[in-house]
Amino acid sequence: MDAGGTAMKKVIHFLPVLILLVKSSFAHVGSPDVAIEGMAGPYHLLVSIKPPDVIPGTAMVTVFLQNASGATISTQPVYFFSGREGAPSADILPPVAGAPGTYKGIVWLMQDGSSSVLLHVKGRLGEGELIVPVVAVSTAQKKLPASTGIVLILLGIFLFVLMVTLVGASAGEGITNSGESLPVHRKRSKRIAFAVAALLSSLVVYGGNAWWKGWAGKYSQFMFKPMHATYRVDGGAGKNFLRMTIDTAHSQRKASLSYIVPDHGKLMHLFLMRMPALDVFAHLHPVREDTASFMAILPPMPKGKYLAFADIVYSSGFTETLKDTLTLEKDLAPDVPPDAKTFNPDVPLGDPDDTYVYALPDNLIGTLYQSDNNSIICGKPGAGVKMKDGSEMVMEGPPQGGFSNGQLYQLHFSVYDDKKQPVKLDPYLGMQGHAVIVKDDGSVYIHIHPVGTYSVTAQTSLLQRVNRPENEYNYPDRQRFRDSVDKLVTALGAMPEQERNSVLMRQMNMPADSMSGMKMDNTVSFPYTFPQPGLYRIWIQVKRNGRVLTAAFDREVK
Amino acid sequence: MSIGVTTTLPPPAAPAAATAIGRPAKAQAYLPVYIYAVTLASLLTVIGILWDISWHRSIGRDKFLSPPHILIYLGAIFAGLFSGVQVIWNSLRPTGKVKASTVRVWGVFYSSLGALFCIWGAIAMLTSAPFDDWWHSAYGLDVVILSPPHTVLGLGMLFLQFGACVGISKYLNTGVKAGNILNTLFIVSAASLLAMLYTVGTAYLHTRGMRGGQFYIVAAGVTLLFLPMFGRALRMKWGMTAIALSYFFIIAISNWVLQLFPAEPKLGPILTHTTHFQPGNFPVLLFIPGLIMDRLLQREGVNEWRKALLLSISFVLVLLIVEYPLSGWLIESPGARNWFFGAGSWYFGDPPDFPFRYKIHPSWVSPPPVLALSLLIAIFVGTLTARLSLRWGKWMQEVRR
Repeated sequence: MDAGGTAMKKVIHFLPVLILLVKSSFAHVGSPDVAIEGMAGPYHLLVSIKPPDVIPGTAMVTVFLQNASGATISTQPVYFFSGREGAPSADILPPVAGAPGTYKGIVWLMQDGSSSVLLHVKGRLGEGELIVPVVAVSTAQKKLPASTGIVLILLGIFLFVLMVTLVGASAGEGITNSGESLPVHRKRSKRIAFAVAALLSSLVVYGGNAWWKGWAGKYSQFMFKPMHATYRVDGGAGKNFLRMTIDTAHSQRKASLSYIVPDHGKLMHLFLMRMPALDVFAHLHPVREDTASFMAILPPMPKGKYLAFADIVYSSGFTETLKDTLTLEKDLAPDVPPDAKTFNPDVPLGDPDDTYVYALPDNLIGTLYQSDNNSIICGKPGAGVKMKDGSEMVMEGPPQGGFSNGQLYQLHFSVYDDKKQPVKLDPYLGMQGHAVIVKDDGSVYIHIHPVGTYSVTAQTSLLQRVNRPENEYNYPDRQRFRDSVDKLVTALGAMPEQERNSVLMRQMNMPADSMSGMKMDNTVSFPYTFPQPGLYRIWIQVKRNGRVLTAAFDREVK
Repeated sequence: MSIGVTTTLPPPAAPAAATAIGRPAKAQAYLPVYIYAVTLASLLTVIGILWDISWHRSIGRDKFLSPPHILIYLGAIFAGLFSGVQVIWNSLRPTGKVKASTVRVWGVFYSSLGALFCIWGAIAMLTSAPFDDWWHSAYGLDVVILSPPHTVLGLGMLFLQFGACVGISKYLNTGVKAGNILNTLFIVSAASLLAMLYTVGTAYLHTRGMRGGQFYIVAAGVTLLFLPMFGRALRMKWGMTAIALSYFFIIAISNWVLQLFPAEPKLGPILTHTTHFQPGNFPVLLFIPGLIMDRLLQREGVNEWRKALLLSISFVLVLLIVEYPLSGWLIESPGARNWFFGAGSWYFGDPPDFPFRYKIHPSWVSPPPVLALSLLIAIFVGTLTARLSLRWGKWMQEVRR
């Protein structure tokens, strides 16, 4: 092996360490529910977890047992910090009456940050476990419901009046001999007592209110606050450079930025979608220039205002989406490929896995946009999507009565060639496919994979963690860590695709049922729970014959 | 324990009211059931709180209707119902005797003064329930003792317990012959209140804080605001001692009994696996300064400020002499790690090998000059609260309805 190969080996050797540090579910905006399809030993499970929106709190866990009946399922919250040793004993997840194979219950999450729910299944087929990463953060600022508020105000008024009354009585009749009428001096005392009690009670109410406000203020500081970034487009060397700067001044996690780690071999996954129609879609992989600065090369996208969703994963296991907007003032010229004369080694090339596509609403069929090489027609129910290479992707469903929010679905997609024959898909960034689901107003966004809404890397690291006795994790040197990650990403980027997929799969230690034995046929499925009613666009990316293919589907959720 | 009326305190008032409405004094031996009920409720609520705190330290997982919560709310309902029924009964059939011996409220209701306090306490406790439930959904599950809804609950409990004392005082003051029952009921209610104060104030009255100045300031302020008042209301020779001793047994017996029952932590991360309910702090030996304070009041003259000053000085110094060395022994000595002292008690979320689990942390110890200054402040604060308490005790002796 040559020197470069040895260096690469060292870098790859470092990968499990990085993976070990990751312990959280995938990033999202407004879509906190975790959906996962996986195997607990011999049992095939579909799991939905609704994390609490206030920590400490309880997560709602629903399990659909797919291939057995009569099994017993129990749950345990496991923290990366304390592992299996520090987890409470397992609680039985009760079966849902009248719904065979369905189990539902709560799991208590006491600390914020990353944790997981370990599912134990026991039945006729034997025993098995499945670990589900869960992010626990406080995101809700709740207002007192009107009914509770009214009850509390009425009770408060009653208590106030009763307090003044009883203090007055304490200075008056209460200390007057039985049967005697109130002497004049005591009547005066009673009036004074009334006034003092009213004043002091008012002060107590005022002080209590201030205390409550202070408490709410402390809580809001503790709440999760997403980071933001600014975007700038620079032209030069025949390319359009997108420069992204993360605002660290107002971030709760500025100290953690040095500790971001690659997911699917990329430090950042950036999704751009043009507003308001979400008609232009780009999936880019910006490279790090310094701790808070990233750069990508933009494809020839049309002018307009774009929603930008940037997904990053920290070594602490925390994952985050930076949601911002950027405006392209003019249509961008196509990238000029360098030839022997213009090639400049200092000018970076775009990431080969970057993709972009136009998705046209079906009423624009036949317009000039359709002739664009990158255009597709959005799939409506009953219609497939013709993709760049001529193959067609079809989405099954919606189910009878349409999609409903809060319900866990398996979204199924199939790809056929122009002769309506099933095609064989290739792995894309180590997965059968990637999906981005976004609500038409941008308030919901999630990047998911066939195994679920979480990062496989996170699941792997937790799996390793529960079997290790260590307690606390100490952060390594910031600079050294960052440099190692940069080397790793470069090394992964330089690998031939097949080798890179193989490395990613191997290091993620995928169970035989899913990754290493990943069934690469013409189908791809994603478990997902739509969090709100509304119109959603579902972007599906798969790879065939070395080309990334994108399809888009519009679905209404009630 | 000897029970007698002190010679230095004013004797109970003659049962003038009884004769005024033409009823024989003998009839007054009857004690209304609500007096027993609110005394029992006072005790139940404080035991509920001690159980609840131990529940949080041993199991962690909590819900609205957990057994300790049920006990606390049952106490509130019990006290509220018995007091409320008494008021409604009096108000529906307001006989001349009832009108003469009760307080008229809002022109409609006739209630004893004590029942009014109890009703306020019960309603405040029940108000705290939906407030606390919403609080948890908005700001997370229980992590502290002193939050706004818990304070409403705590205030309600204190009012309930104080209401029981006021209700009993009416009969103590009107010369009802009820043997030692009245004294016993008063001691139980007052000791419950004292136990409640020391429980709510755990953060400032913890064993680990007894080598710091703050403990003595808070202990003097809180204890001397109530104990002299109770002593004066009770009119027993060793009243304060009896109440402080009862406080000791309420806490100690709760601790001893709780640790007999199995309990496993159900909230991660669990760093120490415990198997039984973890007892709270070993109670403060308040009966020792109480003994000195009782003796002092038996001998002291009429100057109330002087009494207050002497009470404060004796309380603070005796507490220092007793608790300063005792706290060190409780923390550091293996001899304290048994069922009696409960010094091995540990929260499951803390690591078992915490270096200061059985060792005094230097930051817990005030340097001698700071401690000396704190003791002076404690004596000053204690004098003020003791003076207030003595006046309050006088008021308790005047309660007639």
